[in-house]
Amino acid sequence: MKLKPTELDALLARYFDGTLDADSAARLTAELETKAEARALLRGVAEQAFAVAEAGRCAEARKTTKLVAWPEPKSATRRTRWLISWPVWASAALVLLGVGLIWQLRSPVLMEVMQLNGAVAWTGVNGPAQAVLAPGMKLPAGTLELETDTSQAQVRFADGTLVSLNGRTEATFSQEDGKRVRLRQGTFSAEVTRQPETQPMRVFTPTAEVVVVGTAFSMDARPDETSLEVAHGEVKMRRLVDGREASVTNQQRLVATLDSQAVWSPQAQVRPAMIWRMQFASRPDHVSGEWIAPGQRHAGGALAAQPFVAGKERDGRVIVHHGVCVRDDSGMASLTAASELRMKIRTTQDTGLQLIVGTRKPAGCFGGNFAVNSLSCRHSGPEEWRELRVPVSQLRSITPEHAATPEGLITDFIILNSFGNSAGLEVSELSIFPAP
Amino acid sequence: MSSLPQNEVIRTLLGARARLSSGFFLVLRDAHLAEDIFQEVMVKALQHPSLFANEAQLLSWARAVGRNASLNLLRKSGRVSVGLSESLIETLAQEIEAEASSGREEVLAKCLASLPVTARELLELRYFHSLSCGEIAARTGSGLEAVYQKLSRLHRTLRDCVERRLTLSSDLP
Repeated sequence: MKLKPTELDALLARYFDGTLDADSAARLTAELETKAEARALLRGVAEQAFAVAEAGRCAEARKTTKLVAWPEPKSATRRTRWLISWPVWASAALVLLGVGLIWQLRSPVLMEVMQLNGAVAWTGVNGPAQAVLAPGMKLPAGTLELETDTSQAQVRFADGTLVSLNGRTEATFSQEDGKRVRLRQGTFSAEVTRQPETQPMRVFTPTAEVVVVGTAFSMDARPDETSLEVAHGEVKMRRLVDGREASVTNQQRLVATLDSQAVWSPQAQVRPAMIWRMQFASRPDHVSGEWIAPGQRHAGGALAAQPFVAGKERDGRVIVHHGVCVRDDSGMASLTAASELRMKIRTTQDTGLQLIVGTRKPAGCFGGNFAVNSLSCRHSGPEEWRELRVPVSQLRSITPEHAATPEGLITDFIILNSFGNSAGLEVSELSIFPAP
Repeated sequence: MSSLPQNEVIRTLLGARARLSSGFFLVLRDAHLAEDIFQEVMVKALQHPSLFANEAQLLSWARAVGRNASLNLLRKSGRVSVGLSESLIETLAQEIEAEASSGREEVLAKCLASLPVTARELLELRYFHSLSCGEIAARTGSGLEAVYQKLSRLHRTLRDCVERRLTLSSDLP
């Protein structure tokens, strides 16, 4: 028997509400299997429901990404400016210039500081630690230490060789029979001018040694793994675990681990897709934050904010922010003008948020860091997750010497933090998608 | 056999996003979960780009993968299992794809915007905030039956609005 339109509407409302009993479900199914107009009604409701949710998401995204919508805590504003503003360093440098000049007279100059962002410290081989550096300072042999995930430094040797360090990195520079870099950890990229054949540049990491005559390349070093990507030219890499060597050339990549059975042949670099997603059902690698296993506070697992050093005051005191950081050294996603960063989050109080995105160029060298400083999140219930959507077009460069926008670059890391305010921030999913 | 380039895969899936997600919503009855499934389908599609020789093949694959993922999610979440048979869901998904017409989504958005604020709020509570009809009844102080009736009326109003506007636009020279 055909159902009346009002009866069908009532059954559909209960079906979508999940409250249909078995008898009613059988009546509805019979109607849907035999009547095209009944199916059209069902499809219409589904279409409308999706459109309502989409309109809500867009409105929410507009609210949360409004750049002046949320008053940042005063201290956070100050700290953020400090973090992103290298001219502050420049003024501090004037004070230190005299000290630097005296210092130079004692040791031969090896390189000049070109750019700095975030907390970067320098320790000379036999000299004192310098908590404050500035562009233009001349440095002898010693160690550069980048202390935060967003720190960045660029130095230039007298022959024009340009070296960039990014994120938490420690590298010791010296001059012996050629340039020497001991990269204990972190990310290093270089555009090396032609070196004398008998005096190549050598880079040592915990798992590999790299010999460079003239090329552009980048490396990422960890205690158990070194990855090398060559933009152009040729680099020789030796794996320390067994002494095997390989030549890595244009657009190739090679990874040296502590496993002598691991594959040892250069592979073509693969540009990451435009889509990337990370959930936290299992303990993730290369993240900063407290992992919450599925079922503890959230069915699917999450990452909770932890305190981290976001920068340093001039007197050496650290600036602490609370957040999470996700890093993928092989690149998360290629960014386009239409890319959108999406974050499923919740907080235990209303808070302002800062999003920082680190990038690399497709060929492997540092691309620039970008940020949105005025996101906001309202306090949510224990099982209430909010989705923040940030179009790439809203990201602003915090390394102005590099790319002005992240379009065309590859995402290396994402940091989401609630400044100095521990707001109980938790993240259940991070993703990058092209906006619809 | 040549396969669709990555940007074509993305363009095709994004173009069919509302239709695919509506199909997943039929199974899941939650618009946000439907969106999650759509994102999962996109990620999987880009992991296997060589599978698709053309757009039709890609969309058919996306429907099947999304439907299975939706059913799995439903099973795992232990939600009420009174639902539609898989063959009926497939029929509905094919019909959604077949009735796709240019401008349908824009027309629906305009119809939604033309609703009174209270009506839009009710729809948002139900489909954006994912409240059950019982929760809406408790929050608004209405009876459960009244919520069902209001929602049914709103769906009918929107359906009529979309059809009227599409007919009007197709009658224009």
